[in-house]
Amino acid sequence: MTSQPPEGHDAAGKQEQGIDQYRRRFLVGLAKAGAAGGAVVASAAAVTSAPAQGAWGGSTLREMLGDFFQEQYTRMTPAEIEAALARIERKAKRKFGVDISCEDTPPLPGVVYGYALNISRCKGYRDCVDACVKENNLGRDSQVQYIRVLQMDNGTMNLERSEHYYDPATVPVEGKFYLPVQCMQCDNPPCVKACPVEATWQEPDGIVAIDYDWCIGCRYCMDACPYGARHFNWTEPQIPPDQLNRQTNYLGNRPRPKGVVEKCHFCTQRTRKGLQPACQDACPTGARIFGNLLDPNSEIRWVLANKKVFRLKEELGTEPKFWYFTD
Amino acid sequence: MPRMRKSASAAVLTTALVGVAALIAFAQESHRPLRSNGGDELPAPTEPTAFAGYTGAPEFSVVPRTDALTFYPCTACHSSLPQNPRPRLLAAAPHPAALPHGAGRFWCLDCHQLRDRDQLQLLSGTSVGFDASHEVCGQCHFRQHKDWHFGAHGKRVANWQGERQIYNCTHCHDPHDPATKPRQANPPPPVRAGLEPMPRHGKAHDDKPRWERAK
Repeated sequence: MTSQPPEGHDAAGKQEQGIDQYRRRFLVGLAKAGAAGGAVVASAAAVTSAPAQGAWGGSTLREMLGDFFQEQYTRMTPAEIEAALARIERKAKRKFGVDISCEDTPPLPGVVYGYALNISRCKGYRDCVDACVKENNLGRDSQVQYIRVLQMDNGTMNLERSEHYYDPATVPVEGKFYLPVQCMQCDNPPCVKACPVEATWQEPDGIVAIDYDWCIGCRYCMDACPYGARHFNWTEPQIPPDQLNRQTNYLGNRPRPKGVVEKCHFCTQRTRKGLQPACQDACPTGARIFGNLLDPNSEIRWVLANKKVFRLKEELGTEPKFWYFTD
Repeated sequence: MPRMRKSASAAVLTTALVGVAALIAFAQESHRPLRSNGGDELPAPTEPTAFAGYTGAPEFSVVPRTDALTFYPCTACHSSLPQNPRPRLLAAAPHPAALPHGAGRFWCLDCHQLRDRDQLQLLSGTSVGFDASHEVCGQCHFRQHKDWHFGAHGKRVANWQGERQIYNCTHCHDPHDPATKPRQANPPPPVRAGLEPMPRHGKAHDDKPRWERAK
């Protein structure tokens, strides 16, 4: 399958054109030729195998090359983002057989998100965990859960002695309190500094986002995070297709590849549209308060001004935007 | 000498007496009974002003509650039943068998309006609807009521910006038994595929530090 790039001869003649651009054009041409050739193979394979498992693992060579040459999110042009979103939707269709909508929701102007959690209200029901798993398309059998509810002895603050596999008949247990921990969306995030490929960065609304397609899975960020908030998905997420959340977001809950790092993103797909995050929505005790830190009339600002608040490991200087408070 | 001193002291005493007498006369002159301070008409107590919320609290609406009440409107039965304000044991079906709220200090009509059973009442006797039940709760639980107004207690519905709608007290608390009950938690996180569950529920360390265990 040898094919000349369409304008390879002209490009090679022009010295001013960068070698990168030349190579890119060559590969695009190759991909076009490959798609044509692949279609023949696919039609032949369709006779024997399921349609979802055609040639190239259900994908075309062009699609695979599109994935391969996809830029980092912050450097993509709007057209490239559109193409990437369409690819994600097609991939989900192939994998789960359902139509999802993947959007690129921009951050709202004048908004920096903050979270406050009332530990005297939290009873350890883990309803937030359950809602988070469903909302964010986390694998049902994998160990990846963005929220970790720690059971702690009353009067102590030693995270090492906390227990998050607690499973008594009923909660709350006498003499214990519950401390849900998730990504703190630090204002000075150590994970961002640790990433060697700039696959994670801070958005203008304060959310520390991950480009799952740019992550190389080195897990340095997990090591850098003092809160254990980042999780590595070891397995392909197993989600029943009818339970897949079809409203997805590029930086949020879209179906993610195996072998990259994930974490709480304050439900980007919901909060950037003005909705509450899924964990707040699910909390039966009203312990969770979410809002805009820049709005002086917001509920979270009143909590920060009038309640006894603290942050986890504040001495590290990570400036978390996740506060805990008591009544 | 002693005589002179005596007359001088008498003069001082007389002056002091005259002064005290003048003071008493002045006080009697300026003193008026309390009632007459406000003019001729007697004080007329007005209807106590209703609680109008906290200054600076963001605007809100409360999620309607009456639609979710099974036996509402109460007047469906109570319009044909005689009014009996006497505290007694209520064994009839729609009423809660026990009233743990307040540990026996309460009787129905402390919160429910006798004249109109579709209304609640405040301690002042003012009627409030079931959708405004937070005003009834807030009379005692004023700290929670204030937190609730400002968003630190209770829960906001659906959105974090824009129109603020919050749940009423009675959405989460049974008004007749308000304490939240212990219940089963969602399952703990699964362990990684191929691994055994962690011994001792993942507690790697002993509960007590080493120097305390040595004792």
